[in-house]
Amino acid sequence: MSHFADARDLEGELIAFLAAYLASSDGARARDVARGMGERAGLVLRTLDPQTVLSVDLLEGSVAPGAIEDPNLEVELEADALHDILLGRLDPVQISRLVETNRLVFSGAASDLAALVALAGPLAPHYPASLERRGRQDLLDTPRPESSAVWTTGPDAPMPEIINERRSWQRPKRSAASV
Amino acid sequence: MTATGSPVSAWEDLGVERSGTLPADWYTSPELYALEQEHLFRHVWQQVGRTEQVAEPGQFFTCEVANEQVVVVRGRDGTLRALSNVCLHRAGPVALKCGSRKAFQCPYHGWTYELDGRVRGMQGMEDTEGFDIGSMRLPEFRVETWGPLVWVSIDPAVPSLSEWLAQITPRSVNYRLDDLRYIGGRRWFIPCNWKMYVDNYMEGYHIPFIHPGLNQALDPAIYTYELADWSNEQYGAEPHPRGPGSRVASALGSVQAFRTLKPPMEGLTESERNGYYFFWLFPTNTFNFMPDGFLLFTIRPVDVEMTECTFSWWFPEAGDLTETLLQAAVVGFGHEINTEDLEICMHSQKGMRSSVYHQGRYSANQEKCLHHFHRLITAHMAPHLGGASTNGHAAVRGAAR
Repeated sequence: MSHFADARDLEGELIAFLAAYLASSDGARARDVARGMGERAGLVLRTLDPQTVLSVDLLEGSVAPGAIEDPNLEVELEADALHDILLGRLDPVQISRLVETNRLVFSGAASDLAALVALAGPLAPHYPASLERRGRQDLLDTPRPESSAVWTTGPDAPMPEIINERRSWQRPKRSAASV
Repeated sequence: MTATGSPVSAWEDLGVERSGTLPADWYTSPELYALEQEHLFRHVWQQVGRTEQVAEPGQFFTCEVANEQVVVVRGRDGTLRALSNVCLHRAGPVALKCGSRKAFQCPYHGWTYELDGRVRGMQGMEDTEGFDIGSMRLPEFRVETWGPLVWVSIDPAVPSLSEWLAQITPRSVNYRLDDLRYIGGRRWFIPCNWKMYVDNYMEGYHIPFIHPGLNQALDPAIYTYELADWSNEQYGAEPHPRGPGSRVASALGSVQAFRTLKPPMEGLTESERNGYYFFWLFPTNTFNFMPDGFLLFTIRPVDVEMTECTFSWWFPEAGDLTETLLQAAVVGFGHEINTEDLEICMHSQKGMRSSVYHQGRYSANQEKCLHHFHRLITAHMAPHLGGASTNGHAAVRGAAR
């Protein structure tokens, strides 16, 4: 069960938080960064459980429900994971596990992702501040996930099958005929 | 059993240029595995946990060392002890997993123990004759700490831990392990012999084939090997000018882009800032020093063809979410590499059971460390292999017992 009552509850908190961020001096610096991303600097944020879709236009400094066309970046993750990440409650092992299990999915240009990662530091403190302003102590008091955990894959688990697989960023192998 | 009476085939050291690799039966023989437990793993220091787990009186964790069940506990007097985790009554565990206790109690029949191992009490033993609980206590093993790590040895005569780790200590200094924060890890049970996994760690020869991400992140022109008495060290330099690196590094554009966002830790030398030191200490200790932090592999033999590997991460305290995400990228990169390694080890272990494979040959310029490991393990085990000399070298570390 999610920390959020429903999609409307989540959407309301995310829009309030992002709007406050975009209106802040941190948001102004984000617009400077966004100019380096080209003519557009759009981000689509998709959450699961509850399901919401928001679009952020970093150049205009706006946030709205729904997905814009051709965003620079799309990020999809569970609502509670987003909540815990923004509250600094997930450690790097836990975040990498989300990525590895496809529970945190990015798509878009690598350079734009790098820009987003760089912006995440100043962005995050605006989330608890927004929750506090809006009297959402219930969300600030949600239980912390277990930290410093060891993720164990047992002896009976299927073994991985990744060697010899072409990675998305690898150049195609030359065929034998072309050698 | 071979014709010489040894459980495994002989291995002759003719130098890395002329020797064959360790024969296949060294990876599959249950008899050799039992001898290794008795004559190797009982006589070395093994890393079993972290000091933060036993920082306060009453805190404990359990572990297994060379078939011994052990509970490491901080006593009320502040002393760190490694006690046998085997109840003196019917061999039940006096402690399970980890946590904090004022006393231990075996869940089987309720016998209780003080944190220093003395028997505290039990019921139902009133009519048992010649039974003096005042003289009974859990056996104690050697325990010491090094940086953030707790080590145990079953052998009371083993040299001190500081002496044991003398070769690794200089390498660790600039990484200031005590100032880093443990952030969790990943544990795998890999269906391979423990030596198979160590073998894989001993060379970078496989990197271009097994690790496409790491291969892109390292400079092939700068990959070095150095041998010492009981240890060896490999060094791989970054960044590779071609980039991108792994799945994660590639997500950030390139290793260079990654490093722009995430500069190396402070206080490192130029070579430490620009690359990875992979340090191995006989028989299973592997320390990975990175520009971003520290990654420890804890390799524990579980059975002749099953090995538990725990990959534990330490980083500087993350200042903000950007740094946390970048550390997550490093962890993701590491997990990708580790997963590739364990998968190939699983395949090669199957290959060791082939009727048509006996042994291979070393790459003389890229498998020096592998040959070094094979020299050490064969020399150490030689006196215990039915009189068959396998090596010709003097018995090694820990004095073959």
